[in-house]
Amino acid sequence: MNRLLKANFYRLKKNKMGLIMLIFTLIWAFVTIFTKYISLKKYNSSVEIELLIFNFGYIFSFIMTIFCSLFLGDNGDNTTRMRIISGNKKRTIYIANFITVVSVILGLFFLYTCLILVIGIPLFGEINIPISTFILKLFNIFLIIIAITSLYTFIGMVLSDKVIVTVLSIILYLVLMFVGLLLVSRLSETEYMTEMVSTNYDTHEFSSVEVKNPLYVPENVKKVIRVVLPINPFGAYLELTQNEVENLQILPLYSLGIIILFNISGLILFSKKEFK
Amino acid sequence: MELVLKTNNLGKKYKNFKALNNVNMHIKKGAIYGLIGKNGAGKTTLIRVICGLNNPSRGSYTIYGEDSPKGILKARKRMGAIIEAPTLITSMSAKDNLIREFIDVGRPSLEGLDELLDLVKLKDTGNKKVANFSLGMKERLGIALALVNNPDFLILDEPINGLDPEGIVDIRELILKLNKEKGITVLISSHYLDELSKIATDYGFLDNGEIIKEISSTELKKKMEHKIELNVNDVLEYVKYFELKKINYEVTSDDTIIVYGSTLAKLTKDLYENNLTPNKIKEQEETLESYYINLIGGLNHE
Repeated sequence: MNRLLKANFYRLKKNKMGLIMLIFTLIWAFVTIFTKYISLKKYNSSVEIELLIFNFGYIFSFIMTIFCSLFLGDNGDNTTRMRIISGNKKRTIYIANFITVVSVILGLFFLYTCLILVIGIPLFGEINIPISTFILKLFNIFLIIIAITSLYTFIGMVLSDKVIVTVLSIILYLVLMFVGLLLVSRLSETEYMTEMVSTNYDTHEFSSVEVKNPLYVPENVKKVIRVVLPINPFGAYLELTQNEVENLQILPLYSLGIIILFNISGLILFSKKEFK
Repeated sequence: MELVLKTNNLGKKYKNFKALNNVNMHIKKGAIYGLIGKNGAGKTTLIRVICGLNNPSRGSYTIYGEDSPKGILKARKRMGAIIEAPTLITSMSAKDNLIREFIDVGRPSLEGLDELLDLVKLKDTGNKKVANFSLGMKERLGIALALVNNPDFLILDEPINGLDPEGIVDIRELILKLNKEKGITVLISSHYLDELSKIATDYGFLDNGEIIKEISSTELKKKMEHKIELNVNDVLEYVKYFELKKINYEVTSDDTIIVYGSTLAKLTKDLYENNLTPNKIKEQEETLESYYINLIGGLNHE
C-alpha cells in the first residue's frame, strides 16, 4: 500500500496537477482575505470569518470534481493494469487511489482554513459562532468532502473511459448541487410573503399585504426534506453552511453512510472489473 | 523440466462467445515461447487471463507451480508484461516513468535505473517527454518498465506491431539479450511469423481459442527441412537405392517418397544415371508461415 501511495504522490508532483491545486488554493485564500479587507476598510462592512471558510466549499467542490476525475481517469486502467500484472491486489490499488485523492483534497482545504484563520483573525476579529459549533461544522465539512470523494473514486475506478469519467463527474456535480440548492431554498421559504400593492395609482401610494407563498413547503414535508437532504452530500454541505442545522451530531452519520456504501460497492465492482 | 506457466483447460467466455476454449499451454523455464494465431484467435485474451486482468470462465493455470490465488499473486511479482500498448505517462520523461515504476513496485532505491535505460538504449533521451518518442522508443521504454521488478518471466503482446525495420531489429536483439544474458523466460505473441522464427525456441499455435499445436523450434526445423517429394511406381526399387547410397528418405504412401538433404538437380541426375525415373518430382521448402497455414488449413478442413 505504502509504495502505491508513494507512486501516486510522485505522479501528482511530476504532472503538476497537485501544484496547480495548491496554487489555486493559495491564490483563492489571499484574494478572499484581500477583497474582504478592502470592503472592511472602505464600507466598514462586517466580516464573518467562518463564512469565508465554509463558502470556499462551493468553488472547491467543483475543483475537486475536476481533480478526482482527471487523476483517477488518468491513473485508471493503464496504471492499474501494470499494478495488477506485478501482483498487487485490486483492493489495495482502489484504497491507495482513494487515500491519495482524499489526502490531497483534505490537505488543501485544511491549508485554506489555516490561512484564513491565521491571517483573518488579526484582520477581522474572532469567529462569530461558538468554537465548539465551528469545530463541529468543520468536522462535518471534512466528512462531507470525504463522502464526495468516495463518490468520485467510485466513478473513476469502476468506469474505464477517462472522458466518460470526467463528463459523468461534472454532470453529477451539477445535478447534486442543483437538487441541493433547490431543496435548501425551499426549506427557507416562509408560509406568507409580503407583497406591495398599489393603493392609489395617482399618488403612487403602496401598502404591503401578506400573501400565501406558492413556494412554501408545509412543515411535515420540510421534516422529510431535512431527513433526505443530507443523503446528497452537496445538499448536506449547503444545509450546513446556509442554515442553522439542528442535527449537527447526526449529520456525520450520513457522510459515513455514503463513504461506507460507495467504497464497499466500489471495491466489489472494481474487483470484478475486467481490464483490456 | 521446470514450467514457468502451465494452463489446464483454460476457458474464457463473453456472453455466448467462447474466446478461449480448453487451452493447454506449457512454457518451459528459459524458453522464448512464440504464441501464434490470427486476429481474434484469442492471443490477447489468453495473455490478459494469465496476467490477472481477466478472470477465466473455466479451467486453471499455474505460474511457477503456484495455482492458489495467493500463490499466483506472489508469482506475479516475478512477472513483467506489455499488453497491446505499453503503459506510459507521455507527459513525463523516460527516466521519470521509470522512477515512478520503481516506486510502484517497491524498489528500495533507484539503483539499476541507469542500467535499465542503457539496456533499452534510452540513456541519452534526457528530459525529452515520452510524447515526442518514436514508436520503437516507446516500445523499448515499455519493456524497460516491465523489467523494473526484475522479472524472470516477461510477456510481450505484439511488441513489434507498427515498428520500422530498425525498431524490429532493436526489439529482437533486446529480447535475445534478456533471454540469453539474464535468463528471462519470454512469452511473445506476434503476427510477424518470420520475425518470431528468428528468436523463438518454442511455439504455440492458437486457433479459435484453442492451442492446436505446441512444438519446439528444433522439431519444427526438422519439419521445415528442405525436402523433395517423389511420385513413383515401384517404391521398393527407390528404397533399395536410397539405402545403398545412404540417402535420408521417408516413405509416406504407396507411391510417395520424401527425400531429405539433397538438391533437386543432384537427385534428378543420380536417379537418371541409375535408371530410376519418377512420375513426378517436386521440391518442397516449408517456412513457419506455410507450416502455420497448413496447420490451420488442415484443421479447418477437418
